Amino acid sequence: MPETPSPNGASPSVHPADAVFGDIERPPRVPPYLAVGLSTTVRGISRRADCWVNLRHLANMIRGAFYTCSINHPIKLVALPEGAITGFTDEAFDVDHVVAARELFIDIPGEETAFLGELARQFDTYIIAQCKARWPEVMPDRFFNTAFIVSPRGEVVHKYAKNQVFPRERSCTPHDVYDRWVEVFGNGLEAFYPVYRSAEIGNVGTIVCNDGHYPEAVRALAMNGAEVVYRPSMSQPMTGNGAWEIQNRAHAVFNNVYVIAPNIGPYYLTPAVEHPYDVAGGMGHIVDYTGNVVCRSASGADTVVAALIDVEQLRLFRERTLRGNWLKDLRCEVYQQMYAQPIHPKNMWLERDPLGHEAMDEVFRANIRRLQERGTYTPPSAYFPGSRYLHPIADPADRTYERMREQLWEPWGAEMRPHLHAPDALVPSPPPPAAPADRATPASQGAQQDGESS
Amino acid sequence: MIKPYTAVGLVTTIYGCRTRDDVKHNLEEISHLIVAATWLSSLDLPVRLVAIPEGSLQGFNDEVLDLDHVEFARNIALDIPGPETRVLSDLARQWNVYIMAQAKARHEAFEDRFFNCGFIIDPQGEIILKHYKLATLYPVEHSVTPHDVWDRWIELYGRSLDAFYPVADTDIGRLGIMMANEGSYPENARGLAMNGAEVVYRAAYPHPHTGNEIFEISNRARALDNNMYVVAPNTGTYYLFPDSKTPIDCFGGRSMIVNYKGQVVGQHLYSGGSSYVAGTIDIEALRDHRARALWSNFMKDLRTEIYQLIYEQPIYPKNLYLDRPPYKHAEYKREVIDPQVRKMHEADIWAPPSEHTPREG
Repeated sequence: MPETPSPNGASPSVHPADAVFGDIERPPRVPPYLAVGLSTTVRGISRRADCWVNLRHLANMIRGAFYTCSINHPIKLVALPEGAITGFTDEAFDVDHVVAARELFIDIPGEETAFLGELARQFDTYIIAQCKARWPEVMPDRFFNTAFIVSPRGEVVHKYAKNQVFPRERSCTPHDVYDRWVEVFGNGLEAFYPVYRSAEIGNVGTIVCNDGHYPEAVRALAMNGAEVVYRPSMSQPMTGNGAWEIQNRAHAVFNNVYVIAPNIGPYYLTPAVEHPYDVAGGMGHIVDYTGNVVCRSASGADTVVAALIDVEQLRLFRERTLRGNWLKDLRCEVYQQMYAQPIHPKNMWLERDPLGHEAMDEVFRANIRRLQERGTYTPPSAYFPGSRYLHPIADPADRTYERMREQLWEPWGAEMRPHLHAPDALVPSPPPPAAPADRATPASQGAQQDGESS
Repeated sequence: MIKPYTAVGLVTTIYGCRTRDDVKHNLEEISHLIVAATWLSSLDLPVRLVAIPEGSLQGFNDEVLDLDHVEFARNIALDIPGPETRVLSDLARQWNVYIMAQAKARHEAFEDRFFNCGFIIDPQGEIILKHYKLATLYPVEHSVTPHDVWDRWIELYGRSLDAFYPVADTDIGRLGIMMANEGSYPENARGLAMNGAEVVYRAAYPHPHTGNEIFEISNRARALDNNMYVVAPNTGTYYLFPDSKTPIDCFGGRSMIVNYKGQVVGQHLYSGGSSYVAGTIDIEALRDHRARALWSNFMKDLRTEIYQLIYEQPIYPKNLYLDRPPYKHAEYKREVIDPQVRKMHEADIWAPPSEHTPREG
């Protein structure tokens, strides 16, 4: 090619690319930093106050991660897995959505995120986490599966609501209240796939778990500017059969983004569980923007993955690469047509409350039927019945939230919920209105646990 | 019911062409290889599908040597059907198989242009599908794509998935084509799957993107995302011309067949010399999965209203070659790639690096 310098050192006076890129406005350099993803053991909650047992464990895990990992480079980003604060009680027991919204989940910002804010300040780091949360500015009596970022100043600087829940999750999604969502946040990529732009850690986007089964999700984030993508948690068999890692590597390499993918650790479904069930199957990892796994942990039992994030190198790669920076090549006019028709119906929970698992299975089956009728899917030659939702509690009378809490959580209060009783508990639970006997003492307010500091 | 069958991908030794006549040499190679491949691979389940990787008929000399587009279109590009594809039709009849293959080929509506065309031949020897590559190997492949002649293309074929992602409904399943760099974009696989594809050809991919695993990641991710089989043989050793003495493995092997859950069910890791890859295709299992699975049956969940937002604004310019022949390598970099990157900066999709680094090469 004409612009190639000759081997004897003579080079053309001005490279053609210099004319294109010489005058562009450039941001300050983001110093390389360490990102860590935590895999933590979690205890399923029966009420919002139970989150504190998990938060206290997370605080200790963060302390541990700083001790072991922040040696070569400073940690500027700590990513917690999905489910780390609450477990998955609502999903496992098919808890009524409105009850779960009122009894189980949090507000963002709120006490729990303020606690993470304290840790972020103490360790001078961003923290990305996930928690199911109310979005009262959108609608009452709904919870969304929310990823959020807390800054080193202790403030919540980013919120994202999961767009694609899996068939045993009943969180509301933006598309489920589409008209209202668009009214509040507008109809652009930022409304559905927001990106937090930071001079310290680059442009960070978040998705949650099941979102990452769809290449569209990370494409949307990348098109909205993301350079670092958080994609926490996946359960077996998707971790063991390779799906989780292949997806994350594909997201990373074909969007040229880092993917930080910590997985949730062993899970105590209720306080009665003696041996926690590792529903996730480990395999937390971090992938660089060329698709290489930089760090991986086979186990998810209270461990970390850590990797250097070099945003400046990523930006250089995107500017100078001719081929492997794919986004510049998108022929959008061609792609528009595959999304021209609706598949999963929008606005399902605008007028009515979200349905439970069994009823939702029929919604998904109707989606399949729709694809068969359009010729996207070809039906098999024989029909066999599909799987049915089977409730884990045998007696239907015991399946209400109140009975479940009473039978599976309350008997274990003193033993399994030490945060509500121990005088040196890190932070008190906010008083649960229904159970005044469980209140923490005001003396524990703001106390530091175990006298540890960094 | 479609019974399980074996799909074979050839790993071909290829010779670059100076003239269209040189294609015969490669067809001869293919005729020998297909015997060995189908004979040994059919000892378990019958071979019903043979995939011949990109470049196997003509090589890639237009790309490697930056040849003039119009001259290549006139002298080396094929017509489909034509005498060369009739050789493949004979092989399809002889071995009772479907054949998926590729050639740089002319299109009757576009004089002095060639496209990169994937095609499927049925066991009766008929060409049942032609797919025109939508993403070339930027910046060193200058085949015209339908999007490069967008206005005329939609005039001819309409603006539908069929116009860009045709799928052939056959007695071995619904077949589609996704060549080489097309598979680097999840959209192209999604487009095929949304149009019904169950078995998709994805060949070939050059080194170092095989050695660094991008080929495998993309094949497995596309298969998993869309619950479809991906048949991905890679081109083998490349001689620049029929009389060249030096065989070069530009492709790096790693041929594979991936099932509809993203798992590799047949692989062939190296490509020094001619060989093949084989794996079982079970269409009925795929259809059962798509009909019954509530979770990893992903297309049923798409919230398309949201995804439309990704593609609202144009990125790559359409109609680039409506009124002019394609660029050559250096021109293409100057006129397309560098301005495209700059456009990404200006749209604030990408942040530029903190400093301007003067170029060295």
